[in-house]
Amino acid sequence: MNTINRRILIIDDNRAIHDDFRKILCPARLSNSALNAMEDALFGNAEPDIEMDAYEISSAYQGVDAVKLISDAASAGQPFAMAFVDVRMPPGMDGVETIRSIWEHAPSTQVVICSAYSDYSWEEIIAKLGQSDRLLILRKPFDTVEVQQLASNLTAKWSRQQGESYTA
Amino acid sequence: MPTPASSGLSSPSGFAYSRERFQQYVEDALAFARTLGATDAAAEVSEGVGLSVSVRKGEVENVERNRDKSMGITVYVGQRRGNASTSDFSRAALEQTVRAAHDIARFTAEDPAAGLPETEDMALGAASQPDLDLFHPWAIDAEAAMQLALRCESAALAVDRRITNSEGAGVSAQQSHFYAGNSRGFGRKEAQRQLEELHRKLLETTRQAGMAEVATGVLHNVGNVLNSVNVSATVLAESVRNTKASSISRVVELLEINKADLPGLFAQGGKGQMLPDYLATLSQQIAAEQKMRLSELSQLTKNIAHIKDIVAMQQNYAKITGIMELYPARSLLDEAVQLATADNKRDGVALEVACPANCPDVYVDRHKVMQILINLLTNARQAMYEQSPKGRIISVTITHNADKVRISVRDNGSGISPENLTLIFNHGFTTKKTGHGFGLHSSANSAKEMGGQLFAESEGMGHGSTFNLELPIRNPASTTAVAQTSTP
Repeated sequence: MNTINRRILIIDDNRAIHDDFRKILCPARLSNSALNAMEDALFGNAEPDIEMDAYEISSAYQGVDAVKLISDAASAGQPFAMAFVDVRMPPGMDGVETIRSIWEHAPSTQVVICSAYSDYSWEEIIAKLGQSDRLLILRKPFDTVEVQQLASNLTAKWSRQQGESYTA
Repeated sequence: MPTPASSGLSSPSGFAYSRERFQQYVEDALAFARTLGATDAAAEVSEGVGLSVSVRKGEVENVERNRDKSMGITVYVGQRRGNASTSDFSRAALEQTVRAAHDIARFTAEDPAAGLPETEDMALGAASQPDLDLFHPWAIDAEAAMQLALRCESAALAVDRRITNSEGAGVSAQQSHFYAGNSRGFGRKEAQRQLEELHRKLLETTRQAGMAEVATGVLHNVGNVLNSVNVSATVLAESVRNTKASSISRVVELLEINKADLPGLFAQGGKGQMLPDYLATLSQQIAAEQKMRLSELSQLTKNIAHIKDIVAMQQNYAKITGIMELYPARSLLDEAVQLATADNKRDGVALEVACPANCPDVYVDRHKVMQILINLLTNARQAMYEQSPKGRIISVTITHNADKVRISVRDNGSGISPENLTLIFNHGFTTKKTGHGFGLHSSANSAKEMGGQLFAESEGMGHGSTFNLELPIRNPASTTAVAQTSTP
């Protein structure tokens, strides 16, 4: 049985967005196990903690850095399962160019392209990247649950597709 | 310049098309090929007229007049070549032919040998077009030609009595002219005219592009900030939903149930013994929750204020266009700084502003000044990409004299080589990988339009550069000076 590769790369020129992703994917847990144990003794049937997937989040603020991280990770045998990529990242490569380059180095990387407004139409993205089952589009401002589900599903998808060839 | 293969086209002839007309067709075809995306193109248009007469045994057998015309176009797309021709010179047919050649070019295999000769190998200009003395028109009509042919045959028959038959004699006069041109050595003048027209159009669109760029920037910024707002709100909602504060009601419930025997609850071995510890831990937990929420709320408030600023700035900016009015130079600068320096922090760029307290107002189109300043500030930031982040400083200095205010934007970035100091204001000149090269150009133009000027200073490559925007203090058109108000 393979474990799931939960390494995710966030690619956005805006640092605040990286914080947003971390808040969503790695929420600060205030849970206090001592408190929960006492509640169990006092009131019985304490609410069980919801098991959250634990992601390994890395950050890149420019396309070039992202491509380097991706290819380094792949050659180190620690590949990223997925990346969230912003469309607009001045001054360097834009998101679409970055994705194309990422796929040259690590074709199996699942990608969610994020945009605050439409720099590219869907047709233009498809024209540049080709029709692909590795690509999803997320509109900013994004829904936190959507981000959680994307992360959960796409990391699982990546790991399933790697099949026997990958063991975390 | 064109390279006509035959000169003397102006001589009286039976041609239906003038040289100018042909030149026009060739220019049109080449221009159209360029709009389709051809890298190079060559066109040739020709016309021929002629007469031929044949006689045999003293009888006229055949009188034939011919008139033909043709236009051939070769289109290059990189190393691919396509060719098509037409005998219909209408605009529609011409375009269709160019399109056909272009289509063929797109789908043929690349040929490393395909292409036009280099410009320096071509005969350019009238001086390099010698008269090859190839055109000798013969204005002969059919009657004269028949007579000549008959005379010719009879002369042959008369040579010897034994000659009794002939295969006939013929007279033929043909003339043609053609005009050839290609995209390398051709129609400099026309290209120049088109460039100027394009330039005018670009000036118009630059203004709109500037607006769009600001609007796009605003959208992007608001979009990102809104994202953080949304996440903060969700985190807060989550935290409130899962708060441990609700546990207090469970304590109350426990006490309620044991109301009749509270001492029993707190007796040795009773649940009550755990309550003090539990309440202490609970209050710590609630305090921690509270702290987290406060920090999230303060981020939220900050971000909302940020959005408000961006929107207010955009509204101010969008409101006034094309009106010349008096404005404090400092406030124009401050607004431009707000709009243009969002990325400064990321790039580690420090901004210093020096402005005298008694600086007079400038008489300007606020829209134009904003555009120029945004452009200068953005350029300054981008000029320092090569620089280590530590030393990236933009310093803006405002100075003035009796009739103008000068805003100097200095960066310590890559600098400008002396030969580029004026070139940078040329249309289409850019040293940026993704630049259009019309930012500084249109900035210099709008500065001039307002009665000011924009010029650059640099001690050379690696020594940073200073862009000086000079703006008039009073309306240059009015004879009376506008009363000056000082910057608050």
